[in-house]
Amino acid sequence: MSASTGAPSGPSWLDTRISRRRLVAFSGLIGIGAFLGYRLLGGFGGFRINTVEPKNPAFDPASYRLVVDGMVDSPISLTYDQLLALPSVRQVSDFHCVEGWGVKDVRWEGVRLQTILDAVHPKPEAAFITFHSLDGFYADSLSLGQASLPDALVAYRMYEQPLPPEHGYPLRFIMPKMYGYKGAKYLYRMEFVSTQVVGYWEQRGWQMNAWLA
Amino acid sequence: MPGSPERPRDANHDDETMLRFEAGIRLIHWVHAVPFLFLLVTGLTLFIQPIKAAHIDGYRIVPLLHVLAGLGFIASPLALFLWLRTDRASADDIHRLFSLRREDVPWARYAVGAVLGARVRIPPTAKFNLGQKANAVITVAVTAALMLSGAVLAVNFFTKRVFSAGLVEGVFPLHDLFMLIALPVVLVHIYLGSLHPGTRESLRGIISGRVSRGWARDHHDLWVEEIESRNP
Repeated sequence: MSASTGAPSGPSWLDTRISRRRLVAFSGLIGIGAFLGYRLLGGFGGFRINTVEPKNPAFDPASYRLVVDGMVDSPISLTYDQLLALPSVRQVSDFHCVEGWGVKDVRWEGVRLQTILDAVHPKPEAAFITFHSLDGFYADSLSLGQASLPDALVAYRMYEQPLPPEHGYPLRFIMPKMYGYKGAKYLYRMEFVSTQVVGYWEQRGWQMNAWLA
Repeated sequence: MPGSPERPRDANHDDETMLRFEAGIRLIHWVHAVPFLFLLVTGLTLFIQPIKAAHIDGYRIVPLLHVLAGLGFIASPLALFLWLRTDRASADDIHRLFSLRREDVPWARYAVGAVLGARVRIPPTAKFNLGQKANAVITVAVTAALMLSGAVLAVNFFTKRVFSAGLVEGVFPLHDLFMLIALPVVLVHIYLGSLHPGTRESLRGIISGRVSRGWARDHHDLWVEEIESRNP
């Protein structure tokens, strides 16, 4: 075939010689961008962690106790193993954040709050429970009536695994019918009181009664 | 004339300049660009947990600034609409940005080839090439989507009484998705407009309004001819 000396007529798409390296580079960039975007969003519909502790509180199974005390007749103090030995349930519930995002069908495993209520025998003057997180940064509270809802759960497993640190390992509270800030992570103490404690986010403007809209 | 050097192709720094963007369209550009970038930066930092959590007097600062700026931004199309009723030159630019021409087809072939490293020449091009038009259309569409979804989230930021949790939770990831579409478009726009050696002359145009005539002839020759035939 005779070599065309190439009259500079406008190039047509088909006879344009492109650089293969650039093609690979651009495809790679688009792929990386899409992957990072997907990860950034937690795969669409993922959790966006709002932990307030500067770092995830440390958990030592030897010294950890779940303490349930205050205005109760039978206070209890459970090691992590004793907690795991309590009658447990699996629960699938949606998680709703007050920021506006939610996660459907989260699989939790743990102890019904009602089971613990039954064990400690609240005194008549006890009207509220304060949930305390390890390290003392976070606390929230519920009335006893709210706490007796059947899906109020003290959860130690999530998606068939121990709670990840950012979700409150070793233990967190789950209240599906309220926004997520009601569910204290790194839970180590439930205190029965007569006057409701104003929780961490409630001090910052959110509602005490965090029922879903 | 013997000895007179030919004007170099792709002259970005020609002394002679011509008016490309009138004050109105420049104002429209920056009135949208500045809050858009502010919203993009504040929005992206919401993915960095300690920044999102920083608060004064119970109000989380970055989310609050993002929401307030967004509400202001949502009001801007109305101002734009009122402005365009009085500003013919800007309306003309916008009309050109949103209409396709025959020349857009060879320009699209050129652009794909050029991006992929082919040695191709810029085909005859009017005031706006297809890339600039695509940027305008995508930006307007994605911005409208961001404004609509953002409006729902902004209301939800202040009160839960208007929209149901289910609706808000459906809109929330969409707002992120629209941002993810806007992000590469904006980054490419900024790169081409201010960094890329062949096209950064356009930054001068959107700031001062004027671009070098040589650059304009290389990139928008049909438009230069149009202007020159109007003012010979």
